[in-house]
Amino acid sequence: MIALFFAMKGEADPYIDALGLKGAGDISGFKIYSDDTYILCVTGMGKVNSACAVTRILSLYEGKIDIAVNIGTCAGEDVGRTYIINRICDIDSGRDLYPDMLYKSPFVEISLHTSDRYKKDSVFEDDYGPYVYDMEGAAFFISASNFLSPDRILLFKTVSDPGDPDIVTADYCRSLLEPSVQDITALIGDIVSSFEGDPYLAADTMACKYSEELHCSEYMRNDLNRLIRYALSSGVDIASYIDERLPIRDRIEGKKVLEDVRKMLL
Amino acid sequence: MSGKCSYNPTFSHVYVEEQVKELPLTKEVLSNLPSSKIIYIKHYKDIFNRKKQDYRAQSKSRSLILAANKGNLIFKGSDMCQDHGNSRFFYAAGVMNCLFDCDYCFLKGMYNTADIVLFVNLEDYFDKVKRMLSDGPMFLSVSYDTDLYALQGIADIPSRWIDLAKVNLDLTIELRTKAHPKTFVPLGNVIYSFTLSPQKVISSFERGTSSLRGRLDAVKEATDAGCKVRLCFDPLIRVRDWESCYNEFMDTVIYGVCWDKVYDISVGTFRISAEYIKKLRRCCPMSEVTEYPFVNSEGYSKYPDEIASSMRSFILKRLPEVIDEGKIFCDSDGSVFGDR
Repeated sequence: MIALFFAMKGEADPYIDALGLKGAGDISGFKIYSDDTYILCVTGMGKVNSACAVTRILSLYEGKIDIAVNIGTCAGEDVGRTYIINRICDIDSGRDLYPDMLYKSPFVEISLHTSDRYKKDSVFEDDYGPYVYDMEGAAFFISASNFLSPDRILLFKTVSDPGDPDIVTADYCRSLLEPSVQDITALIGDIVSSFEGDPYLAADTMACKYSEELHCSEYMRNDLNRLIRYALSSGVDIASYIDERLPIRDRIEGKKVLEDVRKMLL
Repeated sequence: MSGKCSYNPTFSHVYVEEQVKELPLTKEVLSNLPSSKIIYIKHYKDIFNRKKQDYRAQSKSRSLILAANKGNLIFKGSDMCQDHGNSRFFYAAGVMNCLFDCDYCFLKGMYNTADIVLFVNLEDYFDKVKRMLSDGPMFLSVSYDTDLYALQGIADIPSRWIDLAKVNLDLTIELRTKAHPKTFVPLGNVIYSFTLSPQKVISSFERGTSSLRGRLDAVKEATDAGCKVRLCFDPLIRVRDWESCYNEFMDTVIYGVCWDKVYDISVGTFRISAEYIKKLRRCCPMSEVTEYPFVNSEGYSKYPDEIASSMRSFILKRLPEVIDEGKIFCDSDGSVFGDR
C-alpha cells in the first residue's frame, strides 16, 4: 500500500478526488481516505501532529505499507513550483535528514527546512544552498524512518508563499497542488512497481512443505530451510530429490534424508 | 501507473562535507562528475549511518560521500587477512565501501549502506604513515576496505600513495584490485595485487569488476613494466561444478602468466566473520555464494574443513608446476606458508 500524508484537507483534496479515495472515518482523530492501494491521512499542521499521525498509521499497517509520501505546500521563493526534497533540516534540533534519491524524477530537488514556527521572512538560502520551508517534513521523515528504508520515504513540496502564511487558504492549496497530482502519483506508482518481492518466498514455501514430510523438529526445519535456499540458489532440483524418498515414516528417517540431502549438495 | 521507475545513475548524487569542499581531491572528484547533484552536508555519518537502509535498492543508484576522516586512519591488519610474513602489517581506511559489487564481500556485512565514502583528507593519512614509519618499516594495504582502482575514473588515489612510497622506502604498499589499472609504476616497495577468479565466478558474483582476461592482461602489463605482482587465489568460491570450473581457470592462469616475474601468491577459501553473514545474505539473497550452509567456528563462517582443504589443495597442487613453493601463502587454515 501507498501511504500519503498531508497537513491540511485542502492539500489532500486534489489527491482524494484524482484517486477516487473514499472516506474511511478517522484513526485516533486523524481523517483517513483509502482504497485497496492507497491510505491517505490528514495529519493536521505542525511536527507533533505529523509525527503522531505517521507513527499511528505506519504501526497500524506495519508490513503492509510499501512507501510513505508527504505532500504539501511550503514557503519558498518560486511560488507555484513543486519540488522533491533531498535534504531536510530540522531547524529546532539542528538535525539533518536525508531521503535516498534513487529514482529519476521530473521534479527539481531542493532542501527543506522544518520548524513549528511560521516563516515570516523571505530568506530562502543558507550556507548549504537554497531551501523551502514547512512545518511537518522533518517530523514526517523521522517518524517514517522507524518503519521504512530511506528510499521509501518521499517528500514533495509546492511553494505557496514567500514567507507570508496568511495568504494560504484551503482553496489556494488545492489550486497549487492540483497541477502536479498526475506526475506525483505516476512517479510513486512507478517506484512501487519497481520494488522486488520476497526473494525467499519460493524457498520458504518449499521448506514449509517438506518440513512436514520429513517430520522436522525446529532445529531440523532450520537446517532444511538453509539447504533448500542453497539448493535453489545453485540451481539444484532439490524437490525431485526429496520427492523420490517420500513417504518418510518418522523423524529418524527424516533425519537420514536430511543428511542425504546435505551430502548430495555439499 | 506507467511502468517501472528508472534509477538515477551511479554517483548522480554527491554529498560533500562543508569542511572538505575546498580540498584538492574534492575538486578533482567533482570535476570528474560534472552532471552530479552536489548536496553539502555537515557530517558523512548523517548519510552513511542512517537506520534501516536498503542495500539492494541503494546498490542500483549509489551515492558518493566526500568527507574528512577525523577518526582512525590506519588500522592493524585483521587476523583474517594474510600478512605475507610482514610483522608490521596495517591497512588504510581511506574509502568506506566499494564500487564493485561482489556477492561475498565482507563490506556488505560491515556497513548498512551501499553508498561510498571517500575520505579526501589524504594528507592526514600520509602524515600519519610518516609518523608510524619512525617506529620501523611497515607494510600497508591501501585498498583493503575498497578497490581503489574501481574509482580510478573519478580520482587517481593509487598514484598519490605510490608517490608517498617513492620517497619513503621503508613503506611497502599493496594495491589490491579486481580492475585493470590504467598505469603501473615499477617500484620495489609497491605491490600490485590481483584477485583472480574463474570467469564463471566473476560473471555471477563479482559485478562491475574486470573479466579474467582483463585481469590477466593487467598482470602481464604490470610484470612487463617490472612491477612487483602478487596473485591472489582468494577467496576460492565453492560453486556447484567447482572442480571443472577451477581446473579450466587454472589452465588459463598457468598459461597466461609470466611466473618468474610473480612476486608471490596467496591462496584462501571464502571465510567471513560470523557476525556479518546474516547481513551479507540480506544484501545478496538467494546467491549461491551467500546461501551456502557454512559452519561456524571461532567466530567465523567458513566452508567445512574437509571442503576448504580440498579446494586449497586443488589449487596448490597446480602451483608448484610454475612457482617456487616458498612464494605461496595460505589463509590461516592452510598448511602451506611462504618462507619470507
